Amino acid sequence: MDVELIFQIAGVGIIVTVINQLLSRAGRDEQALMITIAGLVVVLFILTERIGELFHSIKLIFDL
Amino acid sequence: MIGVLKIAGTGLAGGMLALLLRRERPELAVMCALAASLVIIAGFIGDIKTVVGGLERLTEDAGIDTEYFVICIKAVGTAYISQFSAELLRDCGEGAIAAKIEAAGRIAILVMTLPILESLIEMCIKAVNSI
Repeated sequence: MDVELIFQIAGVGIIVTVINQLLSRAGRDEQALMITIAGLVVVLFILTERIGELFHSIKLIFDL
Repeated sequence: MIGVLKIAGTGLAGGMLALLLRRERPELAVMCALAASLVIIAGFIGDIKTVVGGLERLTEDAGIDTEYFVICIKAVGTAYISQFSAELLRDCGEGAIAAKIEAAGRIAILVMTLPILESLIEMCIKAVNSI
């Protein structure tokens, strides 16, 4: 696993924050909410796979 | 040495990025911390494998029953998984769920180690009866 994973997640967070600010300034609050949810889903997609990998390798090493 | 430096750097980077996101998007800050911990654990999980292998070899050489050693290792793995998720939930502010996960981990370990306890008690009863 690489450090790039952290930067990826932080990048998604920063982009979501910026778009969110822009949309709420433009008065489109419901689209801002959608962006927030989309960002969360994308991050969860990336992370659930990695968490599964981690639990799998722990399972293998400690033969649970 | 290099490994520790690398891990410390990764942890610092993850922590700083989480700090950056904390005010605007607290949920993504937690995800960032989760990613950092995943990367760090992936960095040293190979070493754990080596340690477990070495200990297993030592146990075999000493002529101790490996059945008990395997149960020990399983208990360590269960503790590891439950601690990982409980700490993460505590970071999110969900102390109640974290406490339940820890309790579940303890119960699981207890269930795993019950056969050892039983055999110990049996041995004690036999020793007492033979007097």
